[in-house]
Amino acid sequence: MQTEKTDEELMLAYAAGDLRAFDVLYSRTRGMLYRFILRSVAERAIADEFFQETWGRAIVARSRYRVEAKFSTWLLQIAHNLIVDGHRRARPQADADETDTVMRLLEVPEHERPDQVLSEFEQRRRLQLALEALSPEQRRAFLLRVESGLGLDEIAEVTGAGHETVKSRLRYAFAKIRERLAE
Amino acid sequence: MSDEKNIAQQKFDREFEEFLRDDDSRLAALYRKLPQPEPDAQLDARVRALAQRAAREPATAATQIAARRRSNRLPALGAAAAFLLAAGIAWRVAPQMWPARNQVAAPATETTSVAAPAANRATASPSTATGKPDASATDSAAANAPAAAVEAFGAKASARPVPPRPTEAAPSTGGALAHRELPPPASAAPAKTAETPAQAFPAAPALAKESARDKLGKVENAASAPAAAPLAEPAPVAKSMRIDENKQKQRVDDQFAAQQGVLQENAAKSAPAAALQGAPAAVTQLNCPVPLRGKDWQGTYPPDIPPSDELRFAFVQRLLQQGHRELAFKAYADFHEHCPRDPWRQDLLDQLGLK
Repeated sequence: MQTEKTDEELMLAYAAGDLRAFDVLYSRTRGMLYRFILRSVAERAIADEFFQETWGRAIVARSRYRVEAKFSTWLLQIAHNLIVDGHRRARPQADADETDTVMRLLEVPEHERPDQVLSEFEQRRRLQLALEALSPEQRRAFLLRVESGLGLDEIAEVTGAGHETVKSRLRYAFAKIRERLAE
Repeated sequence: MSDEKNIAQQKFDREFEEFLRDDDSRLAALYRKLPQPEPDAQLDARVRALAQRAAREPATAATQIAARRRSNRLPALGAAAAFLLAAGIAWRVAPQMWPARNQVAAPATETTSVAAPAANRATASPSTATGKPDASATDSAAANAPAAAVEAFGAKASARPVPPRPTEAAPSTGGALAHRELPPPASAAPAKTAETPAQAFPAAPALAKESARDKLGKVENAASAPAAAPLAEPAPVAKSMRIDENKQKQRVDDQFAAQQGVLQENAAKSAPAAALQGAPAAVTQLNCPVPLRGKDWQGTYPPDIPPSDELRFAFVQRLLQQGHRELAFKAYADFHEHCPRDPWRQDLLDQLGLK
């Protein structure tokens, strides 16, 4: 019965004291959240810490939760803020060299692209390496797109960035990954 | 070259748009083939424990919030309670302090042993003779002048000299006497008491009776006024009390003897007066027929009626001599109300304008 409810309804039910609703909600979203965090921080211990902290904050703030956005968006926003605060790394921006790289990749003939010739296993490995090589903003945007299935507007909401900024980050991430897969 | 570039650019854009549009892009499909790590059971247990703990907290949290709110309200409640307590104490204590302050403001009542009780009686006790409610206690100082006059008269009658009252000791007027005669409120006053002052005088001349009523009205109005002008000079009153006792007594006796016959004749002529004299039972006689203490009388008027007609006449005469004509008129009416057997003295009636 609980499984038929939306994530938002389950969260409201838990806020009202229904612990079973939380179990269902947690089962639904735990993998997606964990992978987003793990691939954002690239370290399991930190990912575990952020994962628990994300749920802890969501639990504490349950009474303030309002159905104004998808629950997954709200949860990912909490995780994103934790990751950003945890990293505090220099924000690599797309500069001229980066743009040239993207354009160079685009010039590679399709039949010569490595993703066409490498085995699937090798492609997965290179994809992982490509993800790790992305800047945090680009990686998070990419993960939110492919892992959480968020659209541009939702990614913008989670990350607090503008629509075009998100699109640009995704574009560079997409180009870099293609480049890495073509190596 | 540019064509190939454009073609490549268009292909990139197409793939990117596919990547943005749907989940079935080639890159997304490749991503889904990556390992799908999940939190381990230990991490799941920790998160679920957090949720369970939080689910049990609301009552506790609500209790803590309520306790915090209560603790926030405590100072305000304490302040309000202290204020109410202080206000209650002030409400209870202040009325007890006000009369004391009034007594302090009227030193004349404290200078002699007789005047103070007179003032107190005038303000606190009901009139035993008429049953009228006593006047308010606001003018205890104003009672000094007539009280002093009576006291002085009583002292002279008892051949005991009274020390001269300080001039500043009796700055007010005869409020107590006037207040005592104030008519009670219409709802509470007996109908008889409203008529008694006028009935107490001989009613043979109708004009005289009307005049008496007018004068009584003036007296009552004067009583409600801030002060009665004729009584505003207590110092001569105090000085006049030093008149030789024997001389005073002799004069009272002479006046009494001279007017005795005239009054009796007038009383015989006056049917209403005779009716009044013949129906003394209708009047309360609590103070009048007391055993004559004579010269040893220590009371004060009001509320005590002088115990002998001699003292009563002398008292009225004293007031006339001091210029307190209206008070004398009032006192004479009051005396006769209580002591209807007292003969009307023509000289007093003449001096009172009741010819």
